[in-house]
Amino acid sequence: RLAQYKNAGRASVSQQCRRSQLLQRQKRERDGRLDRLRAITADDDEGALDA
Amino acid sequence: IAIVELPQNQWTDLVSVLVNNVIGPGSTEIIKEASLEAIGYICQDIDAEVLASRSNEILTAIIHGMKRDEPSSHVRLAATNALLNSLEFTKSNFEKDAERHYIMEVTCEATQSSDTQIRVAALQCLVKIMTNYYQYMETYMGPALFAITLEAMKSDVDEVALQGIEFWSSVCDEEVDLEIEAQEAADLGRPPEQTSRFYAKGALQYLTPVLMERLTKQEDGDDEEDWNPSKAAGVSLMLLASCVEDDIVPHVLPFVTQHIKSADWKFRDAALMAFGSILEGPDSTKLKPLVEQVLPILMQLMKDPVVAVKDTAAWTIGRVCELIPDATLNEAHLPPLLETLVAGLQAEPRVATNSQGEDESTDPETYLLSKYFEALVERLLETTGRADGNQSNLRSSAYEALMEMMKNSPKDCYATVQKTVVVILERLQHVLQMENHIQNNSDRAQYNDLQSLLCATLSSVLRKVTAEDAPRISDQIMTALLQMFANPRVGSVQEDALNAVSVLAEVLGEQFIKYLDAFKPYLLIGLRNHTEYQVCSVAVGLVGDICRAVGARVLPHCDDIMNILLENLGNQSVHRSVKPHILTVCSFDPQNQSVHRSVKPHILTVFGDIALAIGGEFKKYLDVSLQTLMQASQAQVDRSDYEMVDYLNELRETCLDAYSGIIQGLKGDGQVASPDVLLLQPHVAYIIQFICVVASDQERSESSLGAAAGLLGDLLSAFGSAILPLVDNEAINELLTLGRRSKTARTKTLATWATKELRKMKSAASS
Repeated sequence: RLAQYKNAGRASVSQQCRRSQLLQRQKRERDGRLDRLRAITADDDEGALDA
Repeated sequence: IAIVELPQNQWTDLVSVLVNNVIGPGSTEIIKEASLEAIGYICQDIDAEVLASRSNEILTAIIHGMKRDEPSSHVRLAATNALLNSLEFTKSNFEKDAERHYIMEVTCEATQSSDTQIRVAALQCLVKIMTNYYQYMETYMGPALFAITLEAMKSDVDEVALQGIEFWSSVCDEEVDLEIEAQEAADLGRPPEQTSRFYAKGALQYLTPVLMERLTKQEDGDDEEDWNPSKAAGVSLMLLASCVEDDIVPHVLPFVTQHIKSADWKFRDAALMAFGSILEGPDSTKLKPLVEQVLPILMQLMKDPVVAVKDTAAWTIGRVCELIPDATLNEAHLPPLLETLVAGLQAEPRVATNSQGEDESTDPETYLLSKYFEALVERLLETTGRADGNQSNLRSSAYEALMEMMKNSPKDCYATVQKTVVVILERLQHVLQMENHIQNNSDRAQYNDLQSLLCATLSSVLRKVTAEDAPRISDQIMTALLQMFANPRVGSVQEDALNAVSVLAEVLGEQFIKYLDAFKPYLLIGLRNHTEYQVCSVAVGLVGDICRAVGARVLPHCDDIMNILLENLGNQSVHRSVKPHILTVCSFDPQNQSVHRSVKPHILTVFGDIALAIGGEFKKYLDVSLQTLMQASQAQVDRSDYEMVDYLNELRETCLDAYSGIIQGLKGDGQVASPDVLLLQPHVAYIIQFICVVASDQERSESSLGAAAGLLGDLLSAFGSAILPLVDNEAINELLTLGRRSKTARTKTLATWATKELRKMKSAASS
């Protein structure tokens, strides 16, 4: 509970944040790379087909 | 000894002996107490399943010791503590009405004991019972628990008051979780497994006055690490606001307006704390006008003569910026607010730490903070250099604020970004020269923290540097980082330094190749760092970044890297969390505790990254990679453990992405697919079967569904109509329909793309 009070424990959270930001960025880069190779275009959205 | 022997079915008569010692007519007080203490210690440390079958006997002894007619308070205390430790494995007893009634009766009675220790222990039992057995509490809440805990909250004895408050904090935690579960169940169109009884909402009008009264009982000269009823009340009020949302506002607002300008600092501080606590939960559009009204007073209280009040004012302003930013982001409020916060940076460390919460969303050209940006960065850099920066997290808060400023900086602040890179780099170089002046462990800890912060700040600022500017500073940066790697570092520093290399690779792209020979030894050391698995994990991720940056030029280094990745997957001492990111030839066991599970998906993914980078050259790693992927994709986990279900989804997603990377890598990016991709042909049936397994799993994640659709599209575009017989089935149709209806944009896009690929193949086949 002390960690929930005001900003206690904030510093220990921040490295965790940096880790998760790094993983998210790497995932974005990887997804972007694959999608470029797949030549996915902006019109690949739901409406186009299910309509 | 019992903890060791009982799980191995040894010392089988121990529980009976201890129970008889408690309930036997001839037992003395001291034997009863010692036996109950032994039961308590065993229950505290042993795996709950080992004692589940003995829960009746154990509970009989405990309840016997807790009864009102037990003359010894020592025995009653030992019994109550033993109950606290046994609650995990008494589930079957709580499921039976009569037994539960009796346990609750005895526990509630113990909360009324004249002995403070027994009262506290009994209240602790109620807290744990509420958390573990919420669904059974309706019978007891109205007639007993509400009155007992409300009375405890008002107690003059701090330990008693803390448990009373904790009881209601736990109720809020439970009910917030139940609300989330109800929402998830509604989204999936099924009833929730458990439902909220809304106790917090019902008790709100009685709880808030007591909590606010407790807020005013701050301790003078309070240590930041101390825990007391005033702080507990603050946390409880925050949890209550998250739980009951809008309903809390009318109960708290009168207290805020009445006391925020009180002559007594304790009331000013309590009013601020109460206001700051209810900012998360209620609808922010409703809170906005209130916040705008209070903002000038908050700024005034930043200059309060009492440091505690200034601290709470700074914290409250931070919460406003984070939760209701619209209230501050206008020409009327922003300039005086920034002035106040910058002045706050000169204050005591605890206030200055809280003065750094200002944040804004990204704007590519300019934003409201642009005209203050340079001055704010300068003040923050000054703050990081304060002599008292090691107190109250001040230095790290200042660097973190700086990182946020850099991360969200718009284009018109680029000149300041350039200057900041230079400053941070100079600081890093300066710090590296201080190595020989460290005299003790405290200095060493601060030195390590500083290096970590500088690397992290360098990463955030470097990310904003343009592709043109990056090569001008990269030599200096890499030299400093290599110097850091050359000296053994603690894990957290290595992690942040590897992270900085990762950003450098990203901003430099192919130009990173010139550092690879010099850096490779340290990369390999990171990949081999099994004990500090987070370092290993970042190193594995960095391999992927380097592959993306330098492409096929990574090839001469691939054998060394692949060997270590494969070695890691087979090495039992590698944290299993690293492994999914590699993927190996070795037996793939996600339950293997000696290997951190979070590492595994990273390793798997990197196989895909390497294949994408080196294309056809990946052939030599193909068999080993596919064999490992097959093993990983067959992993099973304990479905009752939510964490393991999440892990399975992560693992499967990384397998799907790795397959996609390998297919795309072997296929090449030319107009015509390279024949290398045909090497995968014998595995296609298995891969499609795996896609169907993911799609039909009711507990699959949205992103794994997307990755499955993406992989399906990759297979179709690589192998064409030849694989139509394998994919023209109900499971695949279901996958694509689900994917197209997904609320996740990428899943929807991938499913739509894969559907188009499928239709293309079908129409080509029919014509």
